[in-house]
Amino acid sequence: MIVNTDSLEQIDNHWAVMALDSELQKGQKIAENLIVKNAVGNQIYLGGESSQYEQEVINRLSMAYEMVAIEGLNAVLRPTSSNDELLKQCTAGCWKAFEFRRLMHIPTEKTDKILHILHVSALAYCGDRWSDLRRWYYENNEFTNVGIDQDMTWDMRLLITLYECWLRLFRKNGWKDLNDISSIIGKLREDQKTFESGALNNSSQTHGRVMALRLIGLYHWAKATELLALYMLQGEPNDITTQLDKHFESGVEAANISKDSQLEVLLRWLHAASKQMVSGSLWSLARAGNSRVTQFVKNAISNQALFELLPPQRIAIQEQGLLDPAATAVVVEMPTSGGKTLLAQFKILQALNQFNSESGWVAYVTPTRALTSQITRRLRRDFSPLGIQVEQLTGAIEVDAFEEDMLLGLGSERPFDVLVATPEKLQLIIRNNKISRPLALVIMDEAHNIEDETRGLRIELLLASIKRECKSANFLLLMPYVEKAEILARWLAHDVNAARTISLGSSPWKPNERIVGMYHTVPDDSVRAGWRLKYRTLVTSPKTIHLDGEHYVGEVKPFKIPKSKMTSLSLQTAAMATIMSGRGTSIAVANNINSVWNMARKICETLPILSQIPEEIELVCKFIQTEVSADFELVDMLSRGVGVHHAGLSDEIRSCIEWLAEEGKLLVLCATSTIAQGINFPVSSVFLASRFVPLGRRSKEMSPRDFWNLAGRAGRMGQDSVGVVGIAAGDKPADIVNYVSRATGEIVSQLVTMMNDLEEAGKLNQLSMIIQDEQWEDFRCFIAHLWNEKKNLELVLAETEQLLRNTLGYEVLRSSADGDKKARYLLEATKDYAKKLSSNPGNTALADMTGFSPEGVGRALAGMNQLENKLTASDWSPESLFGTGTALADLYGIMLRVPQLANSLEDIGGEGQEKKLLAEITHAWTNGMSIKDIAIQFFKGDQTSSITEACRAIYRNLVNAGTWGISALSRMSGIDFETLSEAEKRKINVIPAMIYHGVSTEEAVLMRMNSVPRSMAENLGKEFRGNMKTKEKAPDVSEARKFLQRLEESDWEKLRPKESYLSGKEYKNVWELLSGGEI
Amino acid sequence: MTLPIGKNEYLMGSTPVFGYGVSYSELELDVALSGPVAEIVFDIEGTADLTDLLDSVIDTDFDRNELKRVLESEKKPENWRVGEALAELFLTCHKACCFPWPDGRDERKSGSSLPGADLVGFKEINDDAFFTFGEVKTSTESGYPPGAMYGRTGLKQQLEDLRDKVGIRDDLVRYLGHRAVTASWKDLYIRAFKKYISNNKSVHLFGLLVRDVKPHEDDLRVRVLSLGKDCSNEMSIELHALYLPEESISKLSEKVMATKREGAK
Repeated sequence: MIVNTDSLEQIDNHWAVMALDSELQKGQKIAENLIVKNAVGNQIYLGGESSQYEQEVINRLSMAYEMVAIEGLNAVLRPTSSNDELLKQCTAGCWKAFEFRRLMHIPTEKTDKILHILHVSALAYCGDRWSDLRRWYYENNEFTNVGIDQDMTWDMRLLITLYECWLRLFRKNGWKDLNDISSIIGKLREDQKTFESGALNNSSQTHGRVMALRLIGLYHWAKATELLALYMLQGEPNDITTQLDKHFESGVEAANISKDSQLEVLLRWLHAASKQMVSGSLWSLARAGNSRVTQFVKNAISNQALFELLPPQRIAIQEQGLLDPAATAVVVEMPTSGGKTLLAQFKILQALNQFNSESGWVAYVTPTRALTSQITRRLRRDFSPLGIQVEQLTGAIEVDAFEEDMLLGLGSERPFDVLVATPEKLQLIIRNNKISRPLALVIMDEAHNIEDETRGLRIELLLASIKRECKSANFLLLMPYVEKAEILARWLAHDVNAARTISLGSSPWKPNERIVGMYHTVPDDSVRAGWRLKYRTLVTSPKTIHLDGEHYVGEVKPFKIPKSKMTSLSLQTAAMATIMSGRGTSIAVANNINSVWNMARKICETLPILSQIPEEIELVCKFIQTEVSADFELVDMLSRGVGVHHAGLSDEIRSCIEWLAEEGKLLVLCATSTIAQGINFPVSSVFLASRFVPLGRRSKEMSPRDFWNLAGRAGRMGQDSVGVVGIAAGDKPADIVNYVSRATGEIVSQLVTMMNDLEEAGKLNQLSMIIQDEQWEDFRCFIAHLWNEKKNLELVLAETEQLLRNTLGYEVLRSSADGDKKARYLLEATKDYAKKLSSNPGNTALADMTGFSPEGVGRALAGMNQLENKLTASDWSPESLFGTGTALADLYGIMLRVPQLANSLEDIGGEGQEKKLLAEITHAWTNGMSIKDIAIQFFKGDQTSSITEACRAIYRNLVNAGTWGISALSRMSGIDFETLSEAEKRKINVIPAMIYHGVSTEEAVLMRMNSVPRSMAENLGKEFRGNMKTKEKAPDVSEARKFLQRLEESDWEKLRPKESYLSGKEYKNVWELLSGGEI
Repeated sequence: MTLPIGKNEYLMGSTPVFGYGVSYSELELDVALSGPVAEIVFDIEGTADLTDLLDSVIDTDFDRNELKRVLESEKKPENWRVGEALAELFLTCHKACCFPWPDGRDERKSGSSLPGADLVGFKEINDDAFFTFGEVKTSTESGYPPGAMYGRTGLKQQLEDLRDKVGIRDDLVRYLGHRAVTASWKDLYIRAFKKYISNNKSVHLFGLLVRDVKPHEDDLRVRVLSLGKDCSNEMSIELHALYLPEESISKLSEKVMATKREGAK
C-alpha cells in the first residue's frame, strides 16, 4: 500500500476522473490556492475566505477520486496476488481524494462531523498520508470536539466514544493517549449494563431489531479498536490482521443487514485504514530483528511516541532493501524530514548485531562539529537504554590524549560501539590504526559534501581509504537531492549486486507543501516614503506549488525605514522574515557577518521585547552574559525573539541558538549560509538575500543542491502545511527564475572537477608540478599513506593504480567518454609523486601521524631546526608554553609556514606580529580570560565587531589550526616519547586539548569534553580531581561524565564563579542542554 | 407479472415538481400481493440467519443476552413493509426505475434517525441514466395529509434533505458505488455517476405515500408547491400518493403471509 507517482498519473485516466473534464484543472488550482491561503493567508494576501463555489468544486474532485479508490477497496481488504493493480489504484485514489477532502469545512452537526472527520482520516491512512493527517489535526484541533449529552441514546454514546478512540489512534499524541483506549473500551462494557436495554426496548419491534443489529456492528467496531490500540503499543497479538478482519467484517455484515449504509461504509474504510496502520507500524521491523531491535522499537514507542514509519522509511525498508544484509553499500537519497536518522539507527543495530562476537564498531561521520553534537545527543538518547555506548570525538583534527585512551579501549567503561566524528578526525584514526576492532559500518551524513570545493576531496579519499583498509566495513550514505545516486553506491560496494540506492524519486511523498519565490519592494504612497513587499512564486524542478500573480506581504512600511534605503537586499530579507515570523520561525540568510548583524538590528527596531520571555531564552541570555559579555547586543536581541548565527560566535553559543530555534522559541534567526550545514531541523520559512556565498576572497553561486538543501528546511512537517522560501529579486530577477529551475544533478567528484579544469586550461601535462598545489594537499596525504604502509617504492608503484581505483573520481575518469586520457595522466603524476616521497620516508611517516602533507612536514621540520632556541621536552609543558617564554610564539611562527595551517592563521593581526599575537591570545585563552576581555585587549572596533573578531580568532584560528599545529609539532619535535613516563606523555598530549577547550588543566579538559561551560570548567575540574578515588590512575572521559551526572544542584551552586549570571541550577541546565540531555 | 397501472385520480404541479394520485381496486391489490410484492418482501433464500452473527458477539467481550432476546423473537413483515414493496414495484414498473438497493435482505430501518433514502437506484431516459432516490411512507391515518408527512423523519423533511443537502446525496452515491464495483448494473452506475459529477442536482427524487383512504389532492398539494420553490430545474421531484382500498393496509401483512404459505406464484 505504498503510492508511487506512476499510479497517481494513471488514475487520471479513470472514467470517474475523466468525467470531471475541465473541472479537474480548475479544482487543482483552487486547492493549491486554498492550501497556501490557509497556511500563510495572514501574512501573504491571497484573497478572502473560501467560497461556496470553491468548496463545491473541491468536493466534486474528492468524490471522483474516491470513486477510483472504492473500485479497488476490496483488494485492500482482501489482498491476493492477482489484485495488486486494484490495490495500487485504491491507494492512489485515496491519496488524491484526501488531497481535496481535507480542504473542506468540517460540519458542525455531531454525527456529520464524526463521519466527516473519520472519513478524511481513513482516506489519509489508505493513501499513505498519515503525516499530512497529523498536521491536519493540528490545524483543526479546535473543531474536533464532540461531547456526549445526558439524554443521548446508547448507540450515540458508543459512536461518540469510539470516535474519540479513533481520534487518538489517528493523532497519536503520545503513549498515554493510546494506552487509555483500553480502559475507555472497558468502561463501555460497563456502561452497556446501564444503557443498552433503554435503546433496545424503546419502540416498535422492527426498531428494536434494527437497533440490535446496529449495536452488534458497534460492538465489533469497539473490539477492533481495542485490538488495534493494543497492537500499536505492544506489537501483539501476532495475528492482528486476521482478528481485525474478523471483527470489521462482522460489523459490516451487521450494518448491511440493517441497511445502515452510513455505518457500513464507515466500517469498511476504517477496516482498510487499520490494515494500513498495522503494516506501517514500527513493530513490523521488530519481527525479523534481533532483541536489541525489539527493545529499540519498544523504547521508541513508549518514550518518543514514535509509532509508525513515514512513507520514505517504509519504502526504504520494505521495498528497497535498506536492511538487506547483502547490501554492503547503501545510498539513501531523501529530503530533510524524511526520517533518515531512524534508518541509520536501524542500520547501526543491524551492523552491531552482525559483528557482535568481534566487537565491531560503527563510525557516524557528520560534516560539522555542531551536527556531531546533535547526532550524539540523539543516538545516546535512543541507544543508551540498549546498552549501546555512543562516544563523540571532538572537532579538533588531532586526537587528544583522552580520546586516544578511549579509542584503545582503556579505562573503566566498556568500549564504545558508535563513534561520532568529523571526516578529518576519522581520517586520522583510520590512517593510524587507532582502533584494533573491526569497523562494521560507516555512516556518512550530508554525504553530498563530496563535491564541496574545500572538503570534498578529503571526504572522497576518506571513503576510499576505508574501502581499501577496512574490508568488513559497510557503507551508508545519507544525502538529499542527488541524481544517479547509484554511481556512489556501486563505487563503494564490493560488487554491483551489493549496491543499493534508496531514492524517493518515484514517491509523491513530501513532508509538506512548499512555495519558492522572489520578493521585492514597491512604493506605496499611502504613507510618507512608504513601501510594501511583494512576493511571487516560481516554477521549480522539485514539485512546489506555483500560484498566479504577485502578492503583497504584510502591511505598508513594516520597518520604519524610508523607501530609498530599502534597496538593500538584506534589509528586504529581514523584513520578509519578520512579517512571516507571525506564523512560525523564519531564517533570514545574508552572505556576510556584518549584514547578518545589520539585519538583526533592524528587526529589533521593529520587534518589541517579548511580553513573556521564555525560560529557554532567559537561560541562553545568562549563558551569553557569563561566557561572553554582560552587554553583548545578542542578549537584547534574544529578548525580542531574534537570534543570530555565524562563524563569529562560539560553537556553544551557536548550539544554544540552534536549540532555541529548534524549540520554536525564536521569531527570526539571522544567519550566514553556513546555517544549512548546522541545522538538522526545520523552521517555517527561509529567506535569502542572495544566492551567492563567499568563497575565500570571491563569491560564487550556491550550488542548486546546497540551495535545495537549505530550502528544504522550510516547513515543519507536523505544523506547517506550507513551507515558504524566498530569494530577494534584486536587479536580475530573470537569473533567479533560471536558477531555481535548475536540477540538482549528479554528484561530481572533486577529483574529476579538478582534472577537467586542468584539461580545459591545457595543463594536464604539468600535473606532476601542479600536484604540489594546495588544492591537491589531501591527495598527497592519500598517497603518502600508501607509502607509509609499504615503505618500499616498488611495492608502492605496483599498487598505485589499485589505490586510485578505490576513489570515485579515478573510476569516473577511466570510463569517461573521451577515453581514459585524464586517468592516465593522473596515474603518471601519482607515480611521480610516489617516487619523490621515496627520497624522504621519514617525512611521510610523520605525515600520516600528524595529518600534514609530507611537504608540510618538511617545512615544519625545517622551521623547528631553524629556531634559535631549540625546543626541549621541558618546553612542552603547559606552564612553559602558556607562560611567559617565547616557545609558543616560535611554534606559531613555524605553523604559519605550513600551508595547511597558514590559511586559517593568517587572518589575525598585522604583518610580522602574527605569531606573537597568536601566542598571546592563546595564553589569555587557556588561562581563562573571558572572550569580552580578549576582545578588548587584542581587537579594535566597537564591542560587537571586536567580539566577533575575537570569536573568529579563537574558533577558526586557534581551535582549529592552532591545536592541530601544536599537536603535530609535538610529534615532530624530536622528543623521544618512548623514554617519557605515561604521565609526562599525557601532559604533552593534552596541550592541544587545552588550547581547544580554553583551559589549563587536564581535569578542566575532561570537563570541557563533557560539555561543561568554560567559565566553570576549572572549578569543576578541581572538584573532580579532589573526588577521584585512585589518584594514580589516569582519569578518563566517561568517569568525568559520571562525576558530573552525580552532582547535585547545590554542588553546581557551590562551585560556580560568584560573578557569573548563571545560578548553579542554570549552569546545570546549560550543561545538560549542551551535552545532549533534555532539560 | 407487473403491478397494474391503477386509476389516475389527480395530477398537479409544474416542472420540476409534480404530484400524482393513483388508486387501486381490491382485485388489483390482491393480484399484486400474491405475486411480485411477495417476492420483494420475502428474501428468496429465506430469512437472514442471524445465529452466526449473534455468536460472533461473544468475541467482542460485550454482553449479548439482550441482543439475543430481541433478535430471536418471531417476527412477521409489518404492514408498512408491504407498503414499501408496493411503492418500489410501482416505480419499477411504471417509472422506468431500477433499485438495486436495498437488495432483498429483510431487515429494514424505518423511521430510524439515520438519513438516507429508502430506495436508491437509477432511472433511464433514452440513453441517459440518473441517480434516483425514493422515500416511502405508509399511513393508516385518516387526515389529509397524514402525520407521516411531517416531523423529523416525515416525508417532507426527507425530501427536502435530499433536495437541499448535497452531502446526503453524495453519501448515497458513494454507498451505491461500493456495491457497484462487482454488480451487473455497473455500467448503469457509471453513466449516472458521470451525469452526477458534472451536476449534482441532476437526480430524480420520488416521494411515495401509501394510504388506504379516499383519494384527495390535499395530500400532496402543499408539498408540491413548497418543494418547487428553490428547486433547480435539473432535478426532478415526483410525489405519488397510492390509494389502496379503504382500510386494507392493516391486512396487508396477513395477505402476504398467506401467499408465502401457499408458495409465491
